[in-house]
Amino acid sequence: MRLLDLDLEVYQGPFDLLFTLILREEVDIFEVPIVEVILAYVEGLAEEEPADWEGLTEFLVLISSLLELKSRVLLPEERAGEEDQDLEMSREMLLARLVAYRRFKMAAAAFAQIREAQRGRIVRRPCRESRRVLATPADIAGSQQPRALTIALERLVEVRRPPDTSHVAALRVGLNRQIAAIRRMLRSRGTFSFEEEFGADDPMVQAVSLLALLGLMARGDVRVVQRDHFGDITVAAARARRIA
Amino acid sequence: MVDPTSGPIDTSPDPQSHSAVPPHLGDRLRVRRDVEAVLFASGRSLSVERLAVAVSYAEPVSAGAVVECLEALQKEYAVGGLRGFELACVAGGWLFRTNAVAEAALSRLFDVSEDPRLSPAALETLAIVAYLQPVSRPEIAEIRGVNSDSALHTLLDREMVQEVGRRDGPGAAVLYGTTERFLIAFDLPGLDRLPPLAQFEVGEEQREELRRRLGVAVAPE
Repeated sequence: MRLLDLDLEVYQGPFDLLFTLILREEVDIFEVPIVEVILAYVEGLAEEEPADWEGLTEFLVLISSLLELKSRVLLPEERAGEEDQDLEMSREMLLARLVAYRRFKMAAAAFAQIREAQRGRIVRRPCRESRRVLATPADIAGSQQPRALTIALERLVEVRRPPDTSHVAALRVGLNRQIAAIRRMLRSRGTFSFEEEFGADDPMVQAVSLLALLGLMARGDVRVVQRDHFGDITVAAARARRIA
Repeated sequence: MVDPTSGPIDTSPDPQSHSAVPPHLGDRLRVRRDVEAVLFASGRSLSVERLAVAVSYAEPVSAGAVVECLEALQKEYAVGGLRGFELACVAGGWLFRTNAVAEAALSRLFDVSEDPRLSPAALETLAIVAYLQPVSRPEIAEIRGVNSDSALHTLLDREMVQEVGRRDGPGAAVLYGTTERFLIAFDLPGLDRLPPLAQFEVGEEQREELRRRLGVAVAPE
């Protein structure tokens, strides 16, 4: 016996399908024949050529949520004791959810109608010249909307032209270069103050010089003394091996 | 008898004035002209207050005077009328849009199908966001009984919904609300003009039927 003849593609979710099943098919929710639904679909699938993968995925999502829903509704029944009350609760809950869902389904249908009536009406989007609406003083004064203030501030700090970068020279710094520089100083003077040599440099140069120093320390090529945290560093060549 | 040699014919009702517009009408026509220009340029819905700010450059123009102009313009550009534009009151303000009757001409020249129909899943999701906003993804999925991420994505893409904040508390779920574009697309002056949700309530008869089928005990009268 073919119990169901459903075009499953029209259903938007398990509630949608359930709603129809419950009202249209003469079945109790607890006997919603999911196997029939699947068989009906698989039969339909065999006729389809080529396979509609997207439709198949949607069906799998639909049917698995339906299974989950049904099993949730069925499960409390197995519990001993207060089963009647639990079952009553879950049935009540399912009813409430179905009813809640149905409202939005109907609202969506109304939305579709409104939208259909609006087809063919074109509303232009703001063009470049009118994209930014100026905030009026009334918008900002005593405004409870931080957005209005943000827009006003954005306008204030907005850079209209790309900034002039001609005075910025490319910074040339590298670890090997700084290691070589430190070695040169140690060869000529034996010791130097980090602050004096690199204190006036760009922070990036200072950072790379410090890394160079750490590298030389790790190799045992230099000795360093720093009396206070963040204080000056005195660098000297290690005594054991003279810097080559 | 009018002497044809006495100079150009003056059609002004006031023989004292050589201006085409009588002075007491001048202001109103100026405001109407300015309102029309601002609305044409805008491309978004403009409130009466904003329009009043725009046209108040010479002297303050009251909101009432702007409304008067809008009504006059609306008569000129009647919805569904003979003009190519109509002046519509949507999304908390006023804007020009094309007359729906001109669609045939527009669609021969432009790809107006660029904005395809929203799928039933997207419309359901949109309805949930419209009525329950601000609302989170899990709340939408809870109502629809299925994951609605893809539908929500479509709506974000089409600028029908937007992120409007985050829920306080653990997880800080992103909250969604509808956009001005939504109000424009659905010809709504504001969210308060959505069709009342109560009108979509399941009827008492259908509810009883559901109750019976679900085996829910009917509450005693």
